[in-house]
Amino acid sequence: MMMKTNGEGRNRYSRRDFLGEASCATLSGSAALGSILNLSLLGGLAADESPTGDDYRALVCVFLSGGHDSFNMLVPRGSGDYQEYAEIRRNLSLSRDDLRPLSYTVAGQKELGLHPELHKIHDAYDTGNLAFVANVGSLLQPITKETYKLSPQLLPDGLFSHSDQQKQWHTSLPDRSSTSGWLGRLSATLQDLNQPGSFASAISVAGVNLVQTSPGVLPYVIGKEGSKGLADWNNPNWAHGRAVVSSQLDLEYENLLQRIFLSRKKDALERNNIFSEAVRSVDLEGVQISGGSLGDQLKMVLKTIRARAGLGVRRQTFFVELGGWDLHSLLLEPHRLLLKQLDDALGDFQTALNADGMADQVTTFTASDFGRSLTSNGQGSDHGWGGHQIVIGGAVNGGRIYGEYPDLYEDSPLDVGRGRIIPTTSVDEYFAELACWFGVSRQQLPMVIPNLHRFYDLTQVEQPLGFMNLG
Amino acid sequence: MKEILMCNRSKSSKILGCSGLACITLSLIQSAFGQLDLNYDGLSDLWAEVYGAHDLSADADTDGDGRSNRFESEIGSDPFDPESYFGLNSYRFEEDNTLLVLDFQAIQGVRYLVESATTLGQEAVWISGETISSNINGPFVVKQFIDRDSSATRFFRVRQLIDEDRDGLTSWEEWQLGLDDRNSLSNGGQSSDFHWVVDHHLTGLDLELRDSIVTIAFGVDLEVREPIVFKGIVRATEEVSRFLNQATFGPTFDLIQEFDNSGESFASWIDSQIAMPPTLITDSMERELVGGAKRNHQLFHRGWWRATAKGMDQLRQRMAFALSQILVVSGQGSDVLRGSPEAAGAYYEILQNQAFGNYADLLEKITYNLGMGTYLGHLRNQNEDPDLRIFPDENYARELMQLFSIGLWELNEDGSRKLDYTGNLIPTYTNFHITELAKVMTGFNWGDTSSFYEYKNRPDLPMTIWETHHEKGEKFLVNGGYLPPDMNPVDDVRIAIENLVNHPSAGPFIGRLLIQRFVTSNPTPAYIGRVARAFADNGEGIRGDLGAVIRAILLDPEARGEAITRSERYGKMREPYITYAHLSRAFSSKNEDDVFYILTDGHLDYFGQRPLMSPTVFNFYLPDYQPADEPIEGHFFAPEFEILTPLRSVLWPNLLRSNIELGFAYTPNFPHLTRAHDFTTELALINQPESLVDRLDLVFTYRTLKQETKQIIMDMMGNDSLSDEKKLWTAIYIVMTSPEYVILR
Repeated sequence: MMMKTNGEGRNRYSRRDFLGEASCATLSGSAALGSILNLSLLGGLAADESPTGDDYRALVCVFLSGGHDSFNMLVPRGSGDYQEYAEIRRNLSLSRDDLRPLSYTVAGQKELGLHPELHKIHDAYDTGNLAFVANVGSLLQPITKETYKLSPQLLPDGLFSHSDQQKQWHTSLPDRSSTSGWLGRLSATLQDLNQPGSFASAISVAGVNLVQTSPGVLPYVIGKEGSKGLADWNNPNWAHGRAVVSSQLDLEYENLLQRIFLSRKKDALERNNIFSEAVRSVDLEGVQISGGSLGDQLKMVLKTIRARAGLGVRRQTFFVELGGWDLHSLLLEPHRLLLKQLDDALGDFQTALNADGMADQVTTFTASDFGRSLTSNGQGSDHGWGGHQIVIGGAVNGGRIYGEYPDLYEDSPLDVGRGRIIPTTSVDEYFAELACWFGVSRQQLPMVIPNLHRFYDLTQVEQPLGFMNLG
Repeated sequence: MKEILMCNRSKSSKILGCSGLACITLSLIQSAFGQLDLNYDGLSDLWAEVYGAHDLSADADTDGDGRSNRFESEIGSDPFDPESYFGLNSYRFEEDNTLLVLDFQAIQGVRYLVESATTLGQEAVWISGETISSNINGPFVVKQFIDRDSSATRFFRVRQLIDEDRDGLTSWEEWQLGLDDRNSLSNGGQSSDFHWVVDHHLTGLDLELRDSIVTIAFGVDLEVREPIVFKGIVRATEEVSRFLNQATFGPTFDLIQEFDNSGESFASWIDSQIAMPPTLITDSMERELVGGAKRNHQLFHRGWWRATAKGMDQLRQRMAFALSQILVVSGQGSDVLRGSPEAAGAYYEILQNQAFGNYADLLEKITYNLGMGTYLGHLRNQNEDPDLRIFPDENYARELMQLFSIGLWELNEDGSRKLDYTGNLIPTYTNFHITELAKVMTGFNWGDTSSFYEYKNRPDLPMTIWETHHEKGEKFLVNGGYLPPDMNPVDDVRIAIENLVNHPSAGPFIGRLLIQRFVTSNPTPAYIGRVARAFADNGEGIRGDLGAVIRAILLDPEARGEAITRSERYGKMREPYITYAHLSRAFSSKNEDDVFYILTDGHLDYFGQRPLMSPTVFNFYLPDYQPADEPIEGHFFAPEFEILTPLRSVLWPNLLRSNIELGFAYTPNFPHLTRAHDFTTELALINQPESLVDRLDLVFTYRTLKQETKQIIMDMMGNDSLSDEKKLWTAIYIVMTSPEYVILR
C-alpha cells in the first residue's frame, strides 16, 4: 500500500511536509493553515475537483470512549475461527448460537456474526446502509510484529494509553502532539462551502473535543437540550445587567488567558442567539430516538440538521459520545447494555434520517480509543489496539465488512501479547474515505490526513477503502 | 525600554510597577530591630517624643496610610503624615541605560542601602552598592550604576537599615540622638534596658514581599527579546489577597485584613496551616448521620462543602482538592464510589490527612483504598493463571505510573522531556513494566473479609491483601527496580510504590501538576525545577514531602514575584468550582444548622467539575490542553479552558448570579435550605460606589480590576432606579465573572 513516487508527486510531497511539520506539529496558527488552503499554493490542482452545488453533508462521529471491546461485537462464526475465538477469550466469549449471522459477499472473508443485542444494526446492515470496518487502529506506518518488537520508534506514542490513543483517534497524528483534529482540518478545508465565519460547521453535543478543532475551527458545544444564553438577557428588569455585561465584553486584555476567556463568552452569547433562533421552529414531535444519553444527543443532532438552512451550513460535523467501555473488571453484562444503547441510538437515528429524506446526506461512524485484549484478566479485558468500527448512512456501500478481520489464535502474527492485535487498517485510511465523501479533493486529502501517503497511494483511482458511495 | 510606570502612592509604601530587563525591589529590612521602648507600648519613646505621639496605640494607623503606628515607629516616619513613609516614587535610566536613578520617599537621618541581584528568592545573592543617609524627609534621589553585560535580568532593592549595628537603637533613633548607627558602642549606654531580636533577617522572598517590597520591572527582557509591558500596582495588602486567592478557596475581606495586620509571613502562614488539625469530611458526614441524615451520595457532597468552605485549614482543603484531580477516582466508573458516601468519604479523607505528608505514604494508602480498588480495578485482582488465560488486571498499574507518579516520558528535573542519543523521547515504562507492576497489584479484597473470595460491605476500611492470590513470582520494575519471588505482599506493594516515587521523573511530573492547580498553567522550567528539588529533598534529606512541595510552589519567585506575573501568558483560569466556593465564603453564607444543602447533581453541567465525579481518570481537563481560540506561538497550556464550553460560558455565570441574588446553594424546590449572604457591610457602602468597588476589588481581584471595569460598575450604581440590593448583586456578579477575577495571576 506504500506510495509509488512519480514526477507529479514531488510538489505534493513538499506541500505535505509543510502541512505535516509546520501546521500540525508546531501549530503556527491559522495563518499557516490559511495559506496552505490558499489554492495558489496547490498549483491549481484542487480547483477542478472542488465540490460544487448547494448540497448538504454531515458527518456524525460517535465516540465510544474507554476502549470498545469490539471483538465481542463482531465475532467469527465459522467453526474453526469461532474455536480460536473461544479459546483465547475463554470466559469472555459469547456463545456461537447467540450470534446474529451476517451475510457475506466477499470471497475469502471470514464468516462473522453480530452480538445478539444488535438487531437494529443488523437490519441496517441487511438493507445495505451499514458497513463494518475491521481491525482499525492508530499506526505510524504499516508494521509487523517484528517491527513492533524491534523498532519502538515506529509505534504510535503512548500505545495502550487512553489519553494518547483517544488523542490519536482525534488527530490522526500518532507521533506528535497536535492541537488540530482531522474533522477540524476537514471543516477548515471546506470552510468556503459554509457562510463566512459560520460557527455551526462543527457542533458537539459532548463537550470540547480535539477531533473537531483546528486553527480557526472550534466546535460549538451545545447540550442535549440545545444552546443557552445568559439568564434574563431580554428581560427588561435586568436591562442594567445586560448593559454592564455588554460594556465588559468590549474591554481589551493583554493577558492571553483573559483574552481567550472573554472571547469565549462573547462567542457563546452571539452564537446562542443565532443557534436558538435557527432551531426555535424545529419540531421534533413524534421523533423517537431511544438509547439513553446517546439517543438524546443524536436527537439534538437531528434537530440541528433540520435547522441547517438557518445556520448557513452545507458541511457540518457532529460529535457525540457514549462512555463506559473501559470494562476491566467486568465485561459481558455491562458490554451488552452498552451495545443495546448503541443499537437503539444508531438504529433510531438512521430511521429518523430516512424519514426526513436525509439518509444520503448524513453519514454516522464510530470511533474508540482502541480495541481490547482478547485474553481475560478475570472478568474483564485490558487495553488493546486494533478494533472494529461501524459506518451507517444512505451513502454507505453497506452490507459488507471492509478491511481484514484478523485471525484470533494466540500468538498469531498480529498478536503482540495477550491478544492485543496490530491494526491492519489505519485510522488514516478510515478517515480519508469519509473525508472523500464529505467533499475534499484528492489534492486536499493530505492536509486533512497528513500521514495518509504512508498507507495509500494518492495517485491511485480507487478510494482508500471503498465503503462510501461518492456518487 | 522607555516603558516606565509611575506608581500611585496614595496610600502606603508598597508600590509595584513595570516591565522587563530588570526588576527593582525597594525593601525595608529589619535586620535586627529593637527600639527605645521603656514603657513597653510597642512604640519608640523617642519617636513618640519627636512626633508628639504619646497617646497612639501601636496597632492603629493614625494617618490612614495603610501602615500601623508600630511600623512607623520602627522606620521613624511621621504617624500623622500619610506622605511620610518609605517607598518608591519613580525611577528612570540615564547614561544610555547604564545609570539607574531612583526617586523614593525617604526619612531624614535614616540610612539606605542599594543592592542588586540576578534572581529573587532563596537563591538570590544580593550585592551591596552604596549606603546613603537621607538628609531630607520626602523625595530623595539615589543613583546606581548598572553592569548591563553580566546578566539579562537584574533585580534591585533599596533597604532601609533599621539597626545596622544591632545595638538596639534604630538608625532613626541614633540619628535623633546624634549617635552613629554603624557603631554599636554608641548606644548611649542603654543596651541593657531593651531586648532586641538578633538576626530577624530576610529568609528568602516571602518576607521581602510580605512586608517590605517595592518592585519595579522595566525595559526589555533579553531572553524573550521583545518588550514586555507590565502594568499594575500591587502593595502588601493586595499581595496578601492575591496569596490567599491562590492558597485558599477564596478569602473574605476580614481574612485579608487580619492577615495583613498580623504581619505574619506567607511562609509562617503555610507552616501553621500544615500544623493545623485537618477538618475531615468524614467528621461532618458522621455528625449528619447521627442527626438522622440519609446515607446517599449527597451526604458526601454536603460533607465536602462543609469541610471545604468552612474549614480553617484552607490550604489543606485546597491541597486535597488538587490531589483529587491528580489521583483521580470517580463515581462515574465506580458504583461503590457513587452509591456509598462512606467509600467516597474514606478516599477523600486520605487526601485530607495526607495533604502535607509523604507522597509514598499517600500512594500506598490510596492503593489500599476500596474506592480506588473498584475504580481502577485491582479489587479482587488475582495472580496470573496461564491455564485459565487469566492475567492480572493492568489498569491500576498503568495509571499509577502514567498519571499518579512518573508520567509517560522521562523528564529532566525542570520538567522537560529527556531525549536519547538519537533525539527521541524516552518512555518511562513499556507495556512489559505494566504487566509486571500489575502482578504486584494482586490479592486485594474488601477489608472486612476472611478470605479472597468473600464480598463484604465496609467500603470505609482499607482493602486487605491476601497472600493466597498475590502473584508470587519475581517482578521487574521501572528504572531497574526488582522484586524477588515470594515477597510479603505488603512489602511488595510498598517497595514498588517507593520505586516510583524515587524515579527522577516523579518530582517534576507531580510538581508541574500541582503548580498548575495553584499558580500558573505554564510554569517555566526553572520553576518546575525548584519545586522538583523540594520534592527530592525537603531540606532534611526526605523525598516526597508534600508540605515542602506546596511551600516551594507558593513561595517561589514565579508565584510571588511581580515581573513574570505581568507576562501575557502567566496565570491560570480559576477552577469554576473554586469560584463557586469563594462565593459561599466571601459573604459568610449561613443557614440555620450551617449545613450545605446543595444539590450537586447538575454541577458537572454548570461547572464541568464535581468532587470525585470526573468523567474519566484523566480528570476534568488535561494538563496539556491547548486552547486553539487564536493563533499562539509554541505550546500554551490552559487546562481549565477544556471545560469552558460555550454552554458553560453562560451556565456558570447564570448559576453564580442566581446564588448571589437568591442565596448560596439556592434551589427552586428547597428555598428554605438556602444559605443567606451577609451583605451588611457592602450595603452600608452602597452610596460610596468607589469604596464598595475597592472592597470587592481587594477581596476578589487583589486590586487588579481594570479602571474601565470599575467605571462600568460605578456607572451602573449611579442608576437611581435600581434598588440597593440590585446594585450590589450586579457589582458582585460583574466582578466575579470578569476576566480579572476568573484568570488568577
